[in-house]
Amino acid sequence: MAETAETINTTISSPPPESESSTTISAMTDPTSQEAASKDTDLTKEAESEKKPGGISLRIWPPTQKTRDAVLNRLIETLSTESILSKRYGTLKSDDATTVAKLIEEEAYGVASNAVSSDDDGIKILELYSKEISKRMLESVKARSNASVGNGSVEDANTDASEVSKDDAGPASEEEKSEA
Amino acid sequence: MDLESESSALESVDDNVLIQQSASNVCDDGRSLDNGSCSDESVKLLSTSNSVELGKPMSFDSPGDGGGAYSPVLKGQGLRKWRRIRRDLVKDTSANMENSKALKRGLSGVAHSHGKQMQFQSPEVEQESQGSVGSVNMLKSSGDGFDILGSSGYDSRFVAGVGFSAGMDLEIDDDRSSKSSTVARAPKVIRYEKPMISSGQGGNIRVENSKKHRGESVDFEKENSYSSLESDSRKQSGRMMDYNGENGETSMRKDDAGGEGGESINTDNRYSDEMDPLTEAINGFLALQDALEKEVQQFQEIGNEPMPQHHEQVSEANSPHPEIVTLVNNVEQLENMLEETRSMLEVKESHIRDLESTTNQSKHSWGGTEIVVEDIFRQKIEAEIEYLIYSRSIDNLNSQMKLIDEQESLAEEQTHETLNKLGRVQTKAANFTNRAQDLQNDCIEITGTIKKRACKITSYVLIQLVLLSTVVLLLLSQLLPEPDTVVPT
Repeated sequence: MAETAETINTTISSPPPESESSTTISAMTDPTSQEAASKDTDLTKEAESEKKPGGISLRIWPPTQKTRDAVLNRLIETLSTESILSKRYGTLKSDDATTVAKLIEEEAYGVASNAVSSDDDGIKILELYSKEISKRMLESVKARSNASVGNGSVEDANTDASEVSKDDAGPASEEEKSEA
Repeated sequence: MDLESESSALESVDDNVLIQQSASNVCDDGRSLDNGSCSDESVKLLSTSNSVELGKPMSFDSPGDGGGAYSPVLKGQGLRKWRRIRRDLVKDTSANMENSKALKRGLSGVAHSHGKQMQFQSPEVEQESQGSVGSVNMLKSSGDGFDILGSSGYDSRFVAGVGFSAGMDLEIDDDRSSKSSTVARAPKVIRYEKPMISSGQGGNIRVENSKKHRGESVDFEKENSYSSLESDSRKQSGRMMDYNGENGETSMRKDDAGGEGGESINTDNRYSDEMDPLTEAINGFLALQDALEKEVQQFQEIGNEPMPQHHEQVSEANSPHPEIVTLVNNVEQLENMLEETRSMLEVKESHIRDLESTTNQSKHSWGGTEIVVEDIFRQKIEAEIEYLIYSRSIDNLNSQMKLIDEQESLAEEQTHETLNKLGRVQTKAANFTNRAQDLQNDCIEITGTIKKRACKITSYVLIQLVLLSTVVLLLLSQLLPEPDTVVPT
């Protein structure tokens, strides 16, 4: 009778320390899990940041405004400064050059943006953009040369312009034929 | 077939009798003319003529090889000496010479005449060799010679010399010599086969039957020849009967012939040997005829040769003309074609020159330089624009890369901070674990103390119970003595 009573007492006394230990263990694990979760979130953020610049870097088209401004400046320089065509067709003033360049760039950008291509890089669209600009440059230069011939004020300029007009007539006819 | 063979055998027996008589006559002639060489020639002729008669009647029934037939007949003979000679005869000539010596020793009674014949026979062999006779024929002829000696010795004992009979033999020889021209070597071979039938052996008959089937075509020719000879043999037999007159002698001779079949072979061989020179002469004449015919043919060919040559020449002369004409025509046509092609080439060259001039004019008129300049200008502008855009995009990329680098650096800093925090947390965790262990130890100690107290309490309780029980018992004991005191009163 006494031995059995002793055993029962022992069993009753044991539970409290186990409960205490379990509470301590749970307290220990919680901060580690929280820290791990924080690590995961940080990694995901880093991955997202890495992906974004990759997408941007791969695409050339559409260009940013700065690039378009750079193109305009280059066009103005080509129109205003001397070159093979300028020697042949004459140069323009800075103001006229700026206006003409803006028109050319806007028109070409519109055509290029309307065009659709399968390439994701935009290289083909860029080529089309450059071709449109070159065509419009030539057209504008020839038109200006013809206008100057019509508006000629100086005798020397008139003689040069007359020669230029004769030369221009041929290529104009050629262009028409080529277009046809 | 068997009946025919028997009849043929009987006929052969009759023929053998006649042959023996003629043989005896020949021996007499030999004795009278021992010294001269002409006597030997006459003996040869007689033997050949006699062999003719024997050969053809035998051929009627049994064609085939002589060698095969020759050996079994020898077995039937009674005398040992003859057996030895005949067996050896089939072998080479050297063996035959040895046999000749044996004959000399054996036959002492007729040594003189036999010796002479042997001497004369040896030159026969030489003559045959000079005559370019085949080796097979030499063997046969040599065998025949030795057989003749044996047969002559045997017959001389039974027959006596008769002048009348010699005269008749001469007449018969003349007739046979005339017939010998038609004879060929084949009857000799057939002659040996005939005795097989007389011997009466069954196995040989079977062989003969098989051979007959093979040689059917040949038999017809031989039958014709046999019929002609048969009539001649009958005439001869009639003549012999008239001159002999004695029936008893004829009957005795027949019996001897029937008893000994081997003698017939001997007589046949003897006649065949004498037959050889005539056959050789005839063969020589035939050869000469063949040679002459060949020469005649050659002359004919020579005479004919110029004709085809002329034809060939004519053909050669005629054939090239049309070929040459055709070739010349072809050459002319080809030359015309060449001229035409040359003219065409000149025309085409002129066209080419015109085209070249036109192309040059077109080039000058169109002014390719201006077009080239415009194209170059366009390419320049395109290149410039593309360059600008690419350069701008590269700048953007560089800037983005810088941003990315900054972000990476920030991330690294954050990682370091997080790692530091982790370290701190780990240290705290370690501390907590240590505390937990301490607490566990404390709990263990507490449990121990609790157990001890429980034991003490239980012990105290038990003691108190024991004391109470003792007290209760004492009280009960006090109550129980009162009823005892009342009872004694």
